[in-house]
Amino acid sequence: MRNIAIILFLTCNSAFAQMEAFLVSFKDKPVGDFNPYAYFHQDAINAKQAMGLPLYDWYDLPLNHQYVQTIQSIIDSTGYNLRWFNGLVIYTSVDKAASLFQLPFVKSISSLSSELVPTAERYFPEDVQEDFKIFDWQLQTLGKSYFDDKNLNGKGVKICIVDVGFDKADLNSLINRYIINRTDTFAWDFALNRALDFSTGHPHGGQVASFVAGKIDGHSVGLATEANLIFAKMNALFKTNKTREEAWLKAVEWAHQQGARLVNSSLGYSGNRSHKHNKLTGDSCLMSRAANLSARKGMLIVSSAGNDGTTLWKRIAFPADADSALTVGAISPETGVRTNYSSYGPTFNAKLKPNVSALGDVFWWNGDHLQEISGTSFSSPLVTGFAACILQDNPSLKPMDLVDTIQKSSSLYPYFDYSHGYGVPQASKYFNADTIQADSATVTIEKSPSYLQEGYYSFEYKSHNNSQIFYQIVNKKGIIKEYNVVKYEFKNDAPKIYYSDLEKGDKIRVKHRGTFIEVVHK
Amino acid sequence: MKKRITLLLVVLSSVAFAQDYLVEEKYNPESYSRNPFSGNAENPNHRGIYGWGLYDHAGAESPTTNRWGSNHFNIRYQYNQKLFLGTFLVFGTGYNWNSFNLLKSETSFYNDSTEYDKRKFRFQNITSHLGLRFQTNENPDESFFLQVNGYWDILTHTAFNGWLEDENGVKIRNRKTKLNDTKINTFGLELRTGYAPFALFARYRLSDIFDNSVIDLPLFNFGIDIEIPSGD
Repeated sequence: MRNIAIILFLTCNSAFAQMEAFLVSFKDKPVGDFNPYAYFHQDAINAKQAMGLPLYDWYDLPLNHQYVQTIQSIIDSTGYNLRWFNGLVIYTSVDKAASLFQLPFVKSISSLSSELVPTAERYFPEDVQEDFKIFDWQLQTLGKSYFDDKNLNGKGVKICIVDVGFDKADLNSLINRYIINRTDTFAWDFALNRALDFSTGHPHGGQVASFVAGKIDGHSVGLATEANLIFAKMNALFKTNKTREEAWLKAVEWAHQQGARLVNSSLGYSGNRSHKHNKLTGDSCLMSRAANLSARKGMLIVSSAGNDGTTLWKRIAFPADADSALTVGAISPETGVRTNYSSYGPTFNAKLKPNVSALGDVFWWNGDHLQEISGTSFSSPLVTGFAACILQDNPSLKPMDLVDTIQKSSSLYPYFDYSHGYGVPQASKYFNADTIQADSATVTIEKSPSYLQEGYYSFEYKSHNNSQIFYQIVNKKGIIKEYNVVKYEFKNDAPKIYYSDLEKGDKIRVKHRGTFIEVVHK
Repeated sequence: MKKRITLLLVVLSSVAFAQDYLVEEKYNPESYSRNPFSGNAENPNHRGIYGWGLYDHAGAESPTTNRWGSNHFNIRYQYNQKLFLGTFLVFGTGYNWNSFNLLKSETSFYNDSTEYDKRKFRFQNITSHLGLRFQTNENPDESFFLQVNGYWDILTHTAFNGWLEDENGVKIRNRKTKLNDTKINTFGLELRTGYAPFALFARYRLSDIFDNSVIDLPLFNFGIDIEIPSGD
């Protein structure tokens, strides 16, 4: 009886002495001989040369093996070596992890999250009309025909899809050409650290990849139908001790090693015990830091904003807060403005996020019928395809130049807000062929008659009445205090911004079709 | 007249819908968020609940009380602890007031009191509850919810009131407190459902109020609740 009690006690204890994942970063690493040609795929070498970047930097160097072995002698369970963070992942209790600070070479210990989830909102399983023309319409929201005219389809651009799973992607005619009969190292399972098995797991990654490069019966589903896709999986339910964040970090390192110019990450986590809203600063979470580093090293991470618009969290997810990630929010095809589920910004330190937007409610071919699916998960790959076309057109663009180019090509530019960013990227604007250039202003900002005691600013349509006006109030520091999208029928219904609600120096910015107006309140 | 009303309705409706805000956001860095993760904001999972309802015999063979005048009123605090997605463990405590308006013909309780025109039992309890809550999203202020509780009441005050008007037209009220044949502890089940702060509730008492009673006061009550986030 006593033995049973002891066993029960030990069982309870082991259940409550929770194993957690930590990244132990070291203070230094050996700077010896490093052969980038042996470490990197030739595509990576070519990409760095095209961008004029050094072939490697300190971050690419391997870890100090002695440090790794010392940690492994103390901690039973260890995970990946992460070169970018000069650290080793360990699985242990908080107390034991903290004890590693006694080692002279340990610089920092960070916790890793298991809560990274796909940012797909919902699925509508019902059949709809089997007409692939819907794909043409979806891509035309980004101006596909302008890319077609220039024969831009992402050719020569390597894109890594980092996702939770790719179940049956090899059977889906939209993208299986990227999987079948391929002999290079093009797919890896970072949850299990082995070649990716396309027959199990979550189907989300296959759906996401479709909106980067899918095509069927002569209809493109993504813009980059000739890009080179590689796949990184980071989730294996119940079969791995690796956290999703650890797998994601390793996957991004791998994508860089393979020469990817773009990574699509339709994943995120929206807060946990250690990552609260106040960590949404773009440089707190390890994934966000990796996204920033990635851009410096020549690889842009395109991240979905997240689907927390209606949850308590509301704001963008990690790593969408990363300064150097291109964060994509979702717009509704019905309204053309942010879907209610799309997470919005800004970051905690008031930086603009998301950067741009794209359709979030889209149609997908599941191999049998068309299906409507929703989420910023699908907005992101649409923009990834867009980015690939631009990189094909201009391979020397560095990631932040690419972000700048995409932002400037977006529908609302130079207007932006914390729901839509700069709007939906438009190939027409990229080629300076925007058809909505206004010859004359389509809207004006009017001041109230001077005899009124309570003055205000209002708007007046000059053309295209009852269409959407984006307007905002921006303070002297450039922070948007308020932003709205409104349309109205009668002149008297125009929104009024009362002087009493403004401070001196506040700007009222308005975007309506091709018109952009900015007025400073004095 | 009918035409004028119709015209007015048309005008009013066009006024109401003439301005259509598709997005309306205000941003204040001082209150970046309103959620439990933020560390610096109100937590909407702290709830103050105010409820009022009626007691009903719910099909009992021999009703003992009038529905009108047999009320339940409660004030409670509740905390919603997220388990996963929209599923929450809820627990709370508060105070409730219960009043039972006996039928004139009812003789099961204090059968020497039938001379009164109106008779009421009044009970007050410290109450606590524990249950599960299912929401359509994580924010209780923006979701539909269904909540199932067990509750436990501890009796603190009891009273029996009788009102009558004598032959001289004098109104008399008799009050007896600290009834000695009641149970201290009662318990039951509660179902709550609604949207955001507004809810309907139904409570079913699984235990008797009176010791050794052949029949009991109504077991079932239902009513409306309003939840107000009480902040950190």
